[in-house]
Amino acid sequence: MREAMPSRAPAAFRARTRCLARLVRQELLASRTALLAALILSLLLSATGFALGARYENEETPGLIPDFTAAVSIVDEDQSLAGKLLVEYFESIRYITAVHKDTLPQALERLDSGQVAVVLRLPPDLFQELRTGSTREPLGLWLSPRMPVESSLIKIMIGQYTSVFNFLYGHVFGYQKTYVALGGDEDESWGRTTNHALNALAMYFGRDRYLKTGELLMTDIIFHVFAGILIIFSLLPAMGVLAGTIRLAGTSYEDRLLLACGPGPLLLYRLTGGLIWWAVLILPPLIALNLAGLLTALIPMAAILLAAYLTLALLMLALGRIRAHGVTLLQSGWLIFFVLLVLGGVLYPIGRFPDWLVKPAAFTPVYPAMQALYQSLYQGGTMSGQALLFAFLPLLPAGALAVLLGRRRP
Amino acid sequence: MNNDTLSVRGLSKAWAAQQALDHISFEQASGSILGFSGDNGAGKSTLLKILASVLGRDQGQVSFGGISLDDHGPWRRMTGYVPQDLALDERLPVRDTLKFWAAARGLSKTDQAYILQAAAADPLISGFLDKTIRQCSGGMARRVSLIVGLLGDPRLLLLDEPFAGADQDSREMMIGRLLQLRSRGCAILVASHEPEVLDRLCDRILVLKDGKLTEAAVGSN
Repeated sequence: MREAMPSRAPAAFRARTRCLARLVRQELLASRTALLAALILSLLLSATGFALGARYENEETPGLIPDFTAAVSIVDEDQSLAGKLLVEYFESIRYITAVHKDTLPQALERLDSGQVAVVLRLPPDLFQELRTGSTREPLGLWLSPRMPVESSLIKIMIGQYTSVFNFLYGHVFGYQKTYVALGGDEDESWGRTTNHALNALAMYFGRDRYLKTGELLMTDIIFHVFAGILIIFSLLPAMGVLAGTIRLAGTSYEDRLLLACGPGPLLLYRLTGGLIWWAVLILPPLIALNLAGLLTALIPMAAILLAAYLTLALLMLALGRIRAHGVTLLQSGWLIFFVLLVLGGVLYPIGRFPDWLVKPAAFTPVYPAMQALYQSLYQGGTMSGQALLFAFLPLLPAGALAVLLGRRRP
Repeated sequence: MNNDTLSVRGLSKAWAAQQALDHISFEQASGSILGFSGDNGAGKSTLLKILASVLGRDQGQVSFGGISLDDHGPWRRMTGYVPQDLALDERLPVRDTLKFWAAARGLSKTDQAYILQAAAADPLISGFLDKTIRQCSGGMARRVSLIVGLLGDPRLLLLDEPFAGADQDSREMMIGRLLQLRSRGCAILVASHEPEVLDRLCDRILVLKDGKLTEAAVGSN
């Protein structure tokens, strides 16, 4: 039926481009319902991202806003410099919303009514007794049973501060006691060394010393989860590439396509189809985060997520062509997917890994993408060029594997 | 009519320990139909796949009209292949199937439109252009598969069990079309289990057994 056709042989490149376009179109038409469902999911995620930005837009430090907050009550019966410093210190901690200076009955009433999570009582003569290191009455601490989570987090934090304080106290104030014991002027020694010691303590503790590494990670968890979802969304299309490769590999349909298009379009159309899925799943949430002010580095972030997709997709192209049962290959693909998620710190923060696992995890393809995205959200959208570079490095070995193993050869 | 000759010299292919094709040699002129007969696993499909450049060979030289099988681009442009399986997307209507494969072969939109126009007048498929492949009978689907193999006006046509599952009417129409193509100078290779079809269709029949070729007289079946 082609005999009477005008004999105009198209250039090979144009023919391959047409072939590629048609294959991609066919792929998208075949999966249009699923693609629409993915778009709806993506828009829901975008709305969540936008709401997340609106929620924190008035905070001092964008992207570093604690989800956990609590009020405390301080009963200062000492009325000395120590109490004033403590109140000042608490007021500057972000997750402390209010510091009430109460009497003990008032404070306990607040605790009962759920207004505060913690009551801290400074006993009389605390500061004076600190000078000699012979405190008779300890600090009083009451935790709210109504807020077990907050109370337990504050308890952990205070425990961390206490152990450091004890250590420093033994070292810094020990010198004062030694000086006094040697017959020096007690008042002069106290005045000078107290100033020095408190400065040293304040420097050592820092304002948020335990905020990042302690248990108070609610804010981090929100960003971590959001970053994790975006990473998973950016990797999922690669699993579609694997499924498509397995379905096609070694079939007569593939033979026909190879004869019609050659190996290039045959390989590229699966990558391109996956890329369209990636765009549907990833671009709306990224744009929403950008509009919400949580992510300013939109294009670098998109590039990093694209690199993550391409890396896994190239690996899957190679895996899909291995001569093994399709189910085995699919299971292997999902296994690789989950191992990469774990080692990339998507399911569990990499900072909590054992030391021996941290270094190898840093070389997995998902790790740089996750770190870059998480830090970008966490730090309000900034991103280093090094992060960008690291995200693209895994493309080289993955690309080599795809070229060696992923192409359909005669 | 052109005078190109398909030349196959010392073609071999082994699967692990099994020798699928063992130093096969033959020649076929344009404007003729060469049949391949043989038991299951004799190597008929392997041979056609190698000639279609979708399967590699271990040894041997193959050329047609001065073009080597190793020049994949030009070779594929002049070759049409109808595999043993239908190898068509069952969800697509016949019309869209033709459009898809025409585009996949890199034909322009004008050519694609021409193909659809010609299909509407083609007795092989004009009656069911809007049916999906899934809705087509075995014979109809085979006819579509043949027409897809003819897209791009191939000079060398490779057919692997093209009549499997086709009813008598479909066979007659397909045979008629193949004879027409032969008269226009196309070199056609057909692998089939059915000796009577090969007898009717082919100018020459080769029998494959244990990877080796022997020639059978046409009509001997």
